[in-house]
Amino acid sequence: MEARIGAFLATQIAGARDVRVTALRRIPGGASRETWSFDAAWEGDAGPRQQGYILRRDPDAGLLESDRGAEYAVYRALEGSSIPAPRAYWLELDGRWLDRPFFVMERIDHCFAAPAALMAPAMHRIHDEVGRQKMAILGAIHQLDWRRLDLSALGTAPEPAQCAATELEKWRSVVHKEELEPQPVLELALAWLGTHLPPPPRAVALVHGDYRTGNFLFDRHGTIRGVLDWEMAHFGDPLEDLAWASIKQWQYARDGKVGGLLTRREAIRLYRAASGIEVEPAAFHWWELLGNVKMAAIDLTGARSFVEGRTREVLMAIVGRMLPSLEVEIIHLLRSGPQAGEVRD
Amino acid sequence: MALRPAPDEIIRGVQHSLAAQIVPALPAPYAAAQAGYASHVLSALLALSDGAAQQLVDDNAALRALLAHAATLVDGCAAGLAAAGRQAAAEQDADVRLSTLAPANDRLRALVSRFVPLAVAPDAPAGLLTLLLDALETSAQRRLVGAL
Repeated sequence: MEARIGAFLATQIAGARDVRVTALRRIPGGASRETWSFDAAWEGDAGPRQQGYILRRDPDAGLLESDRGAEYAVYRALEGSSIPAPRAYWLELDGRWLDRPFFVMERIDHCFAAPAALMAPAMHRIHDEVGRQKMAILGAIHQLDWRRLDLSALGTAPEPAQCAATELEKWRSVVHKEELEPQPVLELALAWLGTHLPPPPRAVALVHGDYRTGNFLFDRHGTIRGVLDWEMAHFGDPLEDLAWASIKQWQYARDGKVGGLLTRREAIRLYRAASGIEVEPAAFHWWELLGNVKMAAIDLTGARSFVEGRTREVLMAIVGRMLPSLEVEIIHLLRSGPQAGEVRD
Repeated sequence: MALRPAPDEIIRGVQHSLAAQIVPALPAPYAAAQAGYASHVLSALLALSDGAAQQLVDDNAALRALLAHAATLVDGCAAGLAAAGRQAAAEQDADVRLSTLAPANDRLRALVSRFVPLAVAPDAPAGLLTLLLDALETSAQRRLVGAL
């Protein structure tokens, strides 16, 4: 595979000769695509060069079916913006290079992404700072003037009043397509969501779609160096991201803290300050409930891939067996109602 | 016990080997993660190994009780659904093979799903939503054994 990647790079890097790829290794994370790290060295017009890269290749099957072209387009569009993100270099749809489509982007070294790394006792000292930056960056994403960016790959933005219904139908469709057995709890949640649509946002925003601890790179000093995994990015209600970041699934410390970092009250305060967006409790509750349904839909997709033998990723066996805990949380949210949305820590 | 080691003893041994010996020795992060996930899956299967059939027997019985109760609540507005609920509630599992219990569980859960639109309608029968939430929460809690 090193030689094939080297051959590809030789066609992409202007003036590159004698391209050598080393230290190729698959790394965990980004479960919807294979993620590979490698070093490349070559002779250029100005002498020897080397750089570390990340390659994201389409899987045989994965946690969700997403458009790698859209993800690549977001990375490109964010270049030069205030949002920290790796620079994306090349998108290749032709399978002749690596059998399946892929894109290549900058590798940001000396950083971590895994939640387990952030939850390690030695990292507790940076939790407040990472949490503050996480909310500040989310606010900045939602403040982006996306109409001035080249994000046509994401399609047409919905009207504010359509954001919730659009996402609800998207995930209803995934549930019904991927479920392997009847899901009465998800049906109950979908029906409730359909009859309690939230008020529309003041403005449509670029929504990351998977903004959470685990999808950003941070260093030992607590600086977030890059926001990753934009494969579910779309235009929509910014509260969708805030609520998704807050769901129980990502409360890694099992202490109710958003992403294992901040109390819910503090996370919302910081987000409000960064974005200027008010967090209406009923809307937040609606998006949190949808977030849990979305998580279930993603898990169902992985489970079906595993059961049908389209993937042998062990993670896909795990996600399908996470449904009961999601059901418990969904029922809790259905019982607690909108008033719990803002203040539940 | 007809043959030792029993399935749960085998799973426990393999899971321990994976977690204690293989994962720490794997230098490649991706391989280590895969082996770690496999260990995690085995620990869940171990929890379920002795109780999988009983879990479905209990769940099917609870779902039948739910359907019997729900049928009484919707009799006035959905007689056909009420009749289907009563009929399903009167059935029994033919045996305790997983291949018998699991399809029955699917049928019962599919029928429960048909009560959902009535439960969230503006003119929902009194108590139906609470009945569904209570029963489905108990079912989810029951299925947490062997879940992850």
